[in-house]
Amino acid sequence: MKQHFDIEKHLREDLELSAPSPDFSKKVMGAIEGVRIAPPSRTYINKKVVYGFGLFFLLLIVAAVVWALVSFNWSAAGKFVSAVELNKLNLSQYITHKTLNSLLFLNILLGLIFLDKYFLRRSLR
Amino acid sequence: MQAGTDDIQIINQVLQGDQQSFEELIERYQHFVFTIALRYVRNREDAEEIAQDVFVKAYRSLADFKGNAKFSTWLYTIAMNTTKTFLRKVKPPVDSLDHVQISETVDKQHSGNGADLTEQRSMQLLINQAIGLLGPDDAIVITLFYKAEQSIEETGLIMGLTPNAVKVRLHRARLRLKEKLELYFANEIKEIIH
Repeated sequence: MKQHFDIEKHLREDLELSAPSPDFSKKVMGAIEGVRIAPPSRTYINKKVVYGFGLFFLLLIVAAVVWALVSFNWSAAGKFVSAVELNKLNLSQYITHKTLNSLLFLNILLGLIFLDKYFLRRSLR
Repeated sequence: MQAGTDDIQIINQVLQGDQQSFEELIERYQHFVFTIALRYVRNREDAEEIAQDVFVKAYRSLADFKGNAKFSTWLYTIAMNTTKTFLRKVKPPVDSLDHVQISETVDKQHSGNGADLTEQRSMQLLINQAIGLLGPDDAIVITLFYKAEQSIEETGLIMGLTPNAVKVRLHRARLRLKEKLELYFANEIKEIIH
């Protein structure tokens, strides 16, 4: 079969379409009897309004950039001061037994929620 | 199928108020639209309802058809979208169950017939039964490309895929079809070929 059967040829020659009921076109003509052809969307979609929205958002972005540039303190360049002094940071006061337990509990909770959602999705499938 | 220019002439007549001319477009494309719907819903009543909805939608928005693409491509895109909306609203896809049912039907059908059919007719039956065993997307891509005279690009437009994705899907669909034919109809095909 693999040697002689040309699937391309048979698909081109032998593929058939299904036919709806014989009165299908009459039914459709009946259904469109009261229907009016809608005017083309270009006639009721006002391009000026679309461009107006575009311009508004563009102006918003430009205004934000201009404001950021104007309010920026250019003379501060080169005098970078770190917001957090790392050598003075004492992490041990934050990493306590209680904090670690809380984080562990939160992780277990998130894990359970994830598993629940995973099994729910699998059963839906 | 008629040439694209004929479609445009008919569309212009309909747009000028000759509603009856639309029947010509229905006659021309009803089988294609109905088949597209049937590939997904596998139920004649639902497929006919979808097909009717497609033509009503096409009629209502006929003025929006710009003629950049073929009318058939535009119409099949509406058909695909309407079918998918129908599936979302009405019922979830029940592909695997349908396949089991179809497989059972195929088994019953080809246990009792075959010998008295002509070669061409037999092959048509086999191909079309095997298409019924494929998933909807595979069946659609084969139908659009081989039967509805849609190019790779047009098939991509209709299915919302890139031309490369269509090529890949078409290749896989052909392989799967061949597998189904080998699995269910190997003896019949051997008889027809020899």
